Amino acid sequence: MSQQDEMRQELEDQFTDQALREVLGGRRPPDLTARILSAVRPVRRWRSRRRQLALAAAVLLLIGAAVGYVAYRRVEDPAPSRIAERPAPEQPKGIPVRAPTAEEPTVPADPNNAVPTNSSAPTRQEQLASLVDEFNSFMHEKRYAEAEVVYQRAAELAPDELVVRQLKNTVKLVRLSERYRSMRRAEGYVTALNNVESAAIPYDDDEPFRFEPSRGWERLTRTRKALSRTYPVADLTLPSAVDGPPVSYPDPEVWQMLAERRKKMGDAVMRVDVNKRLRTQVLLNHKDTPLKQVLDDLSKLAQLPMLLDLDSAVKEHVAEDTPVTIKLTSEISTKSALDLVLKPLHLDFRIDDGRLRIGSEQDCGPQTFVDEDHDRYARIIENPFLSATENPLSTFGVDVDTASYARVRRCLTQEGELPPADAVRIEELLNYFDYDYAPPNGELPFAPHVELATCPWQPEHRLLRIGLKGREVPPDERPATNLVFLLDVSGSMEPDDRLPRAVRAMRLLVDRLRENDRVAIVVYAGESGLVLPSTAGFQKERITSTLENLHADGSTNGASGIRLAYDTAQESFIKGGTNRVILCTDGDFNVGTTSTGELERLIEERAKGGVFLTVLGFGMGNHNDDLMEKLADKGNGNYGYVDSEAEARKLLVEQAGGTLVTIAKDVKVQIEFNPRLVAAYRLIGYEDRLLEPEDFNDDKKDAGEIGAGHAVTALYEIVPAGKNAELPKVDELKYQRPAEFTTAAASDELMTMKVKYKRPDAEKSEGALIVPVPDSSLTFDRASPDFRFAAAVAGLGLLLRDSQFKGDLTFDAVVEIAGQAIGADPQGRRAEFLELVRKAKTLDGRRAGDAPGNSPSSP
Amino acid sequence: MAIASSKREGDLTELVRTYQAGVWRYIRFLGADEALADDLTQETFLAVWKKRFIDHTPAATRQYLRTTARNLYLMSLRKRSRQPALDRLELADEVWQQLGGGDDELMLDVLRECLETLNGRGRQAIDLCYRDNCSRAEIGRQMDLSDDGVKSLLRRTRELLRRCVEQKRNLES
Repeated sequence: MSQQDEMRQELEDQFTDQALREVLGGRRPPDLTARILSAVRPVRRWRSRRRQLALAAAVLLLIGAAVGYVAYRRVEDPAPSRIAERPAPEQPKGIPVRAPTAEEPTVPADPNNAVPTNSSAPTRQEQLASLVDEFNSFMHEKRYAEAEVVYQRAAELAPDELVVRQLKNTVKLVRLSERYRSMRRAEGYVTALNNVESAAIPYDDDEPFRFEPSRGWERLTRTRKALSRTYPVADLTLPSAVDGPPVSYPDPEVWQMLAERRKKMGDAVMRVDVNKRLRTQVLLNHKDTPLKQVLDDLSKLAQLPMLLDLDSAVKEHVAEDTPVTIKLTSEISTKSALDLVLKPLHLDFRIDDGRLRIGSEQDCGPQTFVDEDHDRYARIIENPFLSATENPLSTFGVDVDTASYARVRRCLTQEGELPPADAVRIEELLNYFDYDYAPPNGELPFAPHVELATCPWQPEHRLLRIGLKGREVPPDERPATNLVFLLDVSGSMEPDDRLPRAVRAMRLLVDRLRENDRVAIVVYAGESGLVLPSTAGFQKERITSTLENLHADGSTNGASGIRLAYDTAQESFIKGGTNRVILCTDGDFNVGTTSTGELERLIEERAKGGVFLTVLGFGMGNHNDDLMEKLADKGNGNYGYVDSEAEARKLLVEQAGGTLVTIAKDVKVQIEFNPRLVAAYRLIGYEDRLLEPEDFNDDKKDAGEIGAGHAVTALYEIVPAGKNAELPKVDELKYQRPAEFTTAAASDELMTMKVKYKRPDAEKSEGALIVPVPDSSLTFDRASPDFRFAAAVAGLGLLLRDSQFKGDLTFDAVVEIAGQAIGADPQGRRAEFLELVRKAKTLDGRRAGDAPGNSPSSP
Repeated sequence: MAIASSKREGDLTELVRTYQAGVWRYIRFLGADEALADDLTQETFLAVWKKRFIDHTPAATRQYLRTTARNLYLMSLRKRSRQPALDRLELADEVWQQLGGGDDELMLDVLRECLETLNGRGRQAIDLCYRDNCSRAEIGRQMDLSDDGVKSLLRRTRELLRRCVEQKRNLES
C-alpha cells in the first residue's frame, strides 16, 4: 500500500510535468495523420487485390471445368479407349485426359495427316497417346511443370487435336489453380499475422477480463492448501466433501490464542459498558431499607446486574437485611450512590464478568478494582510551606501540560461527580488558560513576568505569580515538522470518544500542515505496524484516508508501538526542524513491556535522539493518567487530555504552534527568597516537577519544554517575615550558626527569579535569565484581572483537592473572584470555568449534605 | 460514426485527427520514449481500423484507444524482454483518468486558464522550469533560492495548479 501511494504521487507529478511542458514548453504531440493513413492504405490495397484474384481464379476454375467436361464427353463417346486410363488425378490438380486410340479419327480429322496403321514406326496418334499418357502420369504425381512440357510437345505434334486443346485447358487450369493456392497460402499467412496483431488487443472492452485481486488469490491458495491437507485423497463418502467445501480448523494453539483474544476483547467491551452504566444518574430515597432491596433498586435503575457476595460481606458483619438509609434530593451517578451506600458498611464493588460483585473492602476494594477498571492517577503530596532561611532556593522544571483541567471538566460535566483528588494538578489547571503576557523581544525564546499581591485565601500572606511567555512563531515561518502519529487501536479504543475522536483530532492537525512537513502513522494493538510511511504534508488526502481507515481491535502493546514510532521519526528526521511523536491513547498498556518503569526508561532513552513527544489522552474508565503524564515528562513532551472536539481544536489548531515548533527545552526556574522579607513560601502545584537546587545548573537533569506561544504560570504563597508561618520547630544546630544576611538582603527585593533553558537542538544551557522581584504591598483587589483569575483557578484546585492549605476559601469565593476577573474571554473558557466551579459546588454540597448518617466519601 | 465501406477511410482520418494527440500523450505518460510513442500511436489506429471499431461516444472512444495503446505498449515491453510493471501501468491509467478527467485537451485548456491566474514567484519558477528549460540550480541562482527551496516552490506551485484545474473542472461539470 505504501509503495503504491508513493508510486501514485510520482505519477501525479509526472502527469503535471508533462502537461506543463506541453503548455509552456510548446512540446505538442507530433501530427501522425499522414503516417498512419499511409500505413493503412497498403493493407487496404492488398486486401482488395486479394479479393480480385480469388474471384478470377474461381471463374477460371469453373470455365476450365466446363470445357474439360465437354471435351471429355466428346472424346469418350465414339469408342472405348485403347490406352488404359489411370485413376484420374484429384481435382483441381487436372482433369483426367483420355488419350486418343490409334484408330479413332481425330476431330476434326485431317486426311493429309493420315498415317498407315500398320507401320512399325509409331504413328502420330500413338505418339500423341504416349504423350497424353505421360501427361496424365505427371499430373498424377502432381509434377505440373513437367506435365506442361509434355503438353507443349503434344501441341507441337498435333496442335489442332482436340485432346491437345484439352491438355492446354488442363495446364491453364492447373496453373491458375496453383496460383490460387499460393494466394490462399499468402492470405493464410496474412490472416495469421492479423491474428497476432489482434492478440495485442486481448480484452473486449464491453466485457473486460479481470483477474482475481491478489487477496482473492491468497484466499484460493489457502483454501486449496487446506483442502489438500485435510483431504489428501478425495473421499466422497465424507459428508462435508459431498455437501460443500470442507472446513479446515486451525491448530489447537491458534484456537487457544483466538479464544483468549476474544475473551480479552469481550472483557474490555464489558468493562466499558459497565463503566458507562455506572455513570447512569439515579435518585434514591430509602430509610432503614434492607441492603438487598436497595441494591436491587439500584440495579434496576442502572440496568446493571449486581451480586451481593454474602460470604465476603459477612466479614464486615453485613447481611442481606442490614438496614441502609440514603436520601438524595437530586440525581447522582450510580457509582456515587453505591459509594454512599457501601462505604459506611465498609463494603466495595468490583466488575466481575459483566456484573458488579459487592463484597468487603478487602475483597473488592481498590487494590483489585483500580488496577483493572478505574482511571489511574499518581498520588499527589502537596508542597508544604518551607522556611526561606532553611530552604532559600525553590527549583522546578516548567510544565505546559493541560490534561488535568480537561479531566476535571469531564468529571464534573460528563460524569456528574467530583474528580479524585489526585486527578487535580493545579499547575495544569493554571496553564490551561491564556493570560495577557507580553511576548519576548529580541532573540530570547520567552519573556519572564512576575506579579505580587495579597493572597485571597490567607490575607496575611502574599501570592506571587510568575509567568513565562514563549515566542510566537507565525505559521509561514515555522521550520519543517516531522510528525509520527502513534495511535492506539486496541479494543479499548473503540468507543466514539476514543479512536474516532483521536482520528478527528489528527485530521485537524493534518489540515495545519505545510508541504514541507512530513507525517507517518504508526498504530499499535497486539502488534504494532507502520500504516503510513513518512509522507509529505501536501498529500493531505492520502493521510486523512489512512486515518479514516483505522479501526480499534485487540489488546495493547504500547511499548512496541512507541519503539516503532521513534524509529520512524528517526528515519525521516528533519535537522533544524521539529521532530515529534504524537501518541493518542487511553493509556491502557496491557500487553508487552507494560511496567511503568520500563516504559519510562524506553521513552527517556529515545527522547535523547531529539524527537519530542506529545501525549493526547482519550476516554475515561481505564485511562492511565499517571502513565501518560510520566511518559510526556520523560519524553521531552507535553500531555493533553481530549475530552471534547473543542478541546481537540484548542490543542491542535489554536495551539498548533506549540505542538509544531519547540522553542526551548529543559526549562528550569529557580527562585531565591530573601529571608529578611520572607519567612516561608509554598509552591502551589508542580509537585512532580520539583528539582534539587543543584539540578538547576546540571545540564544532564531533564526538565520541561516550551513550544511556540506556550505560556507557563506558577503561583507561590508567601508568608512575609514577621508573620507566623506555622513551620515545624527544629532544634538549634550545635556546630554551626544560621547564615548571615548579605548586603543584597538589605534591599527591598523579595526574591530573585532565575530561568535556564536549552535551545531545542542544543546540549548545553544558555546563560540564566535573572529577574529581581521587589516587594509590593499591592492588595488583591487591585491586582491585574489575570492575576485574580489565576488565583481563582488555583483556588478551585485547592478546593477540589480538599487541600489543607485552602484556608477560608469556598466555592462561592472562587466564583466571585473569577467572575470579577473574567475579562474579554473571546473563547468563553473563563465563563466555562465559572460553570465548573458552580457544578463542583453543587456536587460537593450533595456529597456533604445529601446523605445524613453517612460520612462523605473522599473523592 | 461507423468505419465501414467507402466512408471508412474518411472516418479513420477524422478519428486520427481527433484522438492521435491524446493517444500519443498517454503512451508517453506510460513511459514510452518519443519514437516508441510515434510507433505505438500508429499501431493503435491500425489495430482499431482492422477491428472495424464503432465510435459511440468520445469518452468510450478515448477509453478504447487507451486500452489498445496500453496493450500495445505492454507487447512492446515484452518484445524487448522487459518485465512490465503491471501495477504501475494500472495505477498510471487511474491517475491519467483522475487528473485528465477523461479529456486531456480540455484539461490542458483549463491548465492554461489556471496558469493565467498564477503570478508571483510560483509563476516565475514554473516559467523558468518548463518554458525556458532551466535547471533547478539555474532557477535557484535567478530567484536567489536554495536547491531545496526551488524544489519546494515548484512542488507547491504544481500542487496549486492541480487543485485549480480540479476546481475549474468541477465547476464546469
